[in-house]
Amino acid sequence: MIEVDENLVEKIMSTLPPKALMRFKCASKRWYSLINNPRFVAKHLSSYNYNSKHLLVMKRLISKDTTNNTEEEEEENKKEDELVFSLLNLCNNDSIDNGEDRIIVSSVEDIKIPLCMSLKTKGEAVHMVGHCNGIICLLLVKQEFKLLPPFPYLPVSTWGDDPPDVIWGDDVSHSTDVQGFGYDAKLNEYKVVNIGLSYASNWRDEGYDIHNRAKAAIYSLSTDSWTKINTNALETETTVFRLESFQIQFKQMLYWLGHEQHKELNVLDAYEDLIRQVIILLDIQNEVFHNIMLPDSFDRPNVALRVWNESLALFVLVDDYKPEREYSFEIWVLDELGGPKGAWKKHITLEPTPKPFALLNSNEIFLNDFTGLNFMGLVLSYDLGSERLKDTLFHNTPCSTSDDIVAVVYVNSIASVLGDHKLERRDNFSVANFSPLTDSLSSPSIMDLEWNSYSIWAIPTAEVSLRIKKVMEGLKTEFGGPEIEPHIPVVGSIRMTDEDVLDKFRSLCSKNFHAYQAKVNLVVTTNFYHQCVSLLIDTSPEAYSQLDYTTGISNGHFGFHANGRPYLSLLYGNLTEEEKRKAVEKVSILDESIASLSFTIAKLALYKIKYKDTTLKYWEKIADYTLPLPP
Amino acid sequence: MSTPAENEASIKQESGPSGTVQDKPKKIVVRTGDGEVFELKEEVAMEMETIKTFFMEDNISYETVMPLTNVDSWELVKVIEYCSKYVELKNKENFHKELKAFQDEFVKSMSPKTLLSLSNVANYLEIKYFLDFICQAIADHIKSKDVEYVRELFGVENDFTEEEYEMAKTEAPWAHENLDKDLY
Repeated sequence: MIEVDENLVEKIMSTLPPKALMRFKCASKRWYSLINNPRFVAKHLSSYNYNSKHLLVMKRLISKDTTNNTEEEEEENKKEDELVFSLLNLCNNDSIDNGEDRIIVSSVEDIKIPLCMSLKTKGEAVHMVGHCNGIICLLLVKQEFKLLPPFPYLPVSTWGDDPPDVIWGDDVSHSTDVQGFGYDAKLNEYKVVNIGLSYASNWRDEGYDIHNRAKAAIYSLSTDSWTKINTNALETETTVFRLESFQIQFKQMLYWLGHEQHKELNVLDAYEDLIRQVIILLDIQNEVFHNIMLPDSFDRPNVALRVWNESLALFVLVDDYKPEREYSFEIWVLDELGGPKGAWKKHITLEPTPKPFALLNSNEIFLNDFTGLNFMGLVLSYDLGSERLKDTLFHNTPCSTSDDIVAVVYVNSIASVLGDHKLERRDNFSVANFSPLTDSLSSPSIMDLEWNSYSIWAIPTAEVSLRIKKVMEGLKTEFGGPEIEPHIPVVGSIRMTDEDVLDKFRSLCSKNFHAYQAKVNLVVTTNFYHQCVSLLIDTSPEAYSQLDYTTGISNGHFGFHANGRPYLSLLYGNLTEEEKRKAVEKVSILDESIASLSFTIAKLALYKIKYKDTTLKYWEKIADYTLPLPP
Repeated sequence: MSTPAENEASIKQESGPSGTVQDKPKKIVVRTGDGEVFELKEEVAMEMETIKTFFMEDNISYETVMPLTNVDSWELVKVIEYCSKYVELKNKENFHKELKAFQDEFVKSMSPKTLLSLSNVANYLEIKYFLDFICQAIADHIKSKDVEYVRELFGVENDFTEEEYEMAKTEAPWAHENLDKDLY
C-alpha cells in the first residue's frame, strides 16, 4: 500500500471535476469531511476553474420542435415555448491560421429543470436573480424562489417561499419586489434578500402620492427562515431610495441600481420626480443599507455594475439617439481612494457596440446583440485588451431574440447550497472562522464615499421653537428618539461638497425672500422614520403661497424639480400603530392648540446631515440667514 | 535495481579545452534509499528544491553525498528523466507543445500506483512543476472511476456503515452513474 500525504490527496482532488468529488465523498469519513470543508471548496473553486474553459449560462426561450407531432399534438403544443437554461462552454479558438480570432462555443448543454419546478412557462415568469460560487438563484413568478446548485447535476436542493406577511406587517400592498442573492462569508451561508416596494398610488392623501419606504427581509438558506431588516437607511428627511435591479455581490456587499425620489409628492409633480440615480448597497453580514452616488450628472439608463480588475466598475451603454443608432460604451471605475468628488473615474470609452450583458474576465465582455439584424440572437465577445470584436459561433439551436437572453458568468463548483448545516458532521471537524469564498474584510472605504447630505431648513421664531420643543420633550420621554431642532425641511438631500453648497446657499439667500407664515393643519403620524409624529403644514392656497414660493425657488435653485410635502417633525422613530395613536393623544394633552398653530418662519438654515448618526448630535449647522420682515 | 546504463544517462563526460576546474560542469552526488549512487548535473539537481536547499543553505560542498532516503532508484531515474527534459525544453519556442508530447509519452506506461509513488517523491523533492503534472495525471486517471477503485488505490478504509454510506450516496446519486468499468 502506498502512503499518500493528505496534502497530496487534497492537491489531487482540487483538480477533479465536481462530479468525481461528490462521488469520492463516499470513500471514507475522512474524505467526506475533507471535501465538505469550506476551505477545500474554496481551493477547488479557484484551482479547478483556473485553467478551464469559460462558462456562461443563458436563459433562452426555444420554440419546441413540433415537426414530428401529429396534428392534435401540434394543437396542444402550439403555444409552448420551452424555457431552457443553457450552459455554454466557451474556448478560444487557437487556430490563428485564418487570422480570425474566435471564441467558439464548444458545447451547449441544456440544464434539465425537474418538472416539479413547473418551469414550462414563458420566459418572463422565471428570472435569474444572481449567482454566486456556482449557485444560481431563480425567481419564479409565484414569488417563490429556487436555487440551482452547480450545474449540471440538479436536483434543486432547496427553495423558499415568499416572506411571510408577518414580516411585512399590515402594509401588504407592495407593487414589486426586488431580490438579491449573495454569500455571507462569516456564517458560511447563502442568503436571499427580498425588498418590497410599495405602490404610491395606493397611498394617496389629499393630492399627494406617498412613496413609503421599502421593507426588506433576508432569507437564510441554512435556517430556512426569514428575518426582517431595518430599512431606516433607505430614507432621508425628505426622500426615499427605491431599489430597481440587483447587480452583483462584491466582498460583503450586495449592490443594486436604484434611484432617489421625494417621499411625498404632489400628484401633479409625480412624473417629474427622479432626483438622481443611485447605487444602493446592503452589507450582508451586518444587514445595513448604504448608498453611493453615481458620477456627476449621470443620466444614462443603460448601466450595469460589475466587478472588473478587482474593483467596482460601471458598464454604461450610451445611446447617441441618432438615426443610425450607434452606441458607445464606457467603463467607469470606482476609485475607493479618491474622495467624494473623484470617486468615479472614466476608464475607457469604446465605440460602438451592442449591449453588453456579462463580464467574463477582466478582458472580455460578452455582448448581447439585440440590435443587429444580421446576428439575430448572436452572442459576441469583445476583447477589451485588443479592442476587437470576436465572433462567437452559436451552433445548432436557434435563439430567441432580444432580452430573453440573460447571462451570467458561471463557475463549476461543489459549493453546497446549504453550507455545512444539512447533514450531521461525521467527526468533530470544526469550521474555522475564515472567509474562503469572498473577501470578508469589510471595506470601510466604500462607506467613506457616501457624500455629505445637506438640507435647508425653515426655522420658526425662538418663541415658537421653545413651545414646540416642550411637546417634543414630552414625546421623547415616553417614546424615546433623538433631540430635534424644530424645523420644516425646505430642500433636502442635497449632495455637494462643503464649499459648493455654501456658495449656493448664499446665492439663494440673496434672492428676495421674506419671513413668512406657516400654519399647522393637523398632528399626523406616518410610516416614515423622520416623520413619525409631525405637524402637517397647511398647503391650501390661502395659507401656503409664501411658503410655496420660497420652497419652490429654493428647490429649483438646487436643481430639484419638485417640492416635498411640508412637515414639522415632532418625533423620529418607528412606532407601532397603537403607539402612534397614543402619541397623537399625548400631543394634544401637552399642547392643546398646537394643531392649529400659525407661526412665522424667521430663518433659513443650512445643515450638514449625517444620516448614520441617529442621535443627531453630529448634524451640523453650516450657516443661517435671518429672513427680513416683509415691508 | 538500476543498471549502469541508466546511471550513464545522468553522468556527462566533460572535457574543457584547458581542463580547468571552472569549465567542468558541476555534478551533485546523491544516494537513494536503496543504496544506489547517482551523479546529477547541477542544473538538473537544482530543479529540486530539497536538494537545492541542502547545498545552498549551509554552503555545503558538492563533494558531500546527499542521502535521499525516501527515494528509490527507479523513482529517481524517472524524476531525472522528466527534469532533464524540462530544462532542455524550457527556453525553446515550442515549449508547451513539445512538453505536452513528452508528458503524454511519459505517463503512457505508468500504472496509477507508479504515479502515486512519483507524486510522493515529487513532493519530497519539492519539484513544483513535476508535482503539478503528476497530480493532474492522477486526477485525470481517477476522475471517472468508482469509489471502490479510489479506496483501493489510496489505501483508504471504508469506515461508513451500510446506512451511512447510502445516505452519503443520496446526496448526489447522479455522481455515481456513467463510470468507467475498469480493471484495477
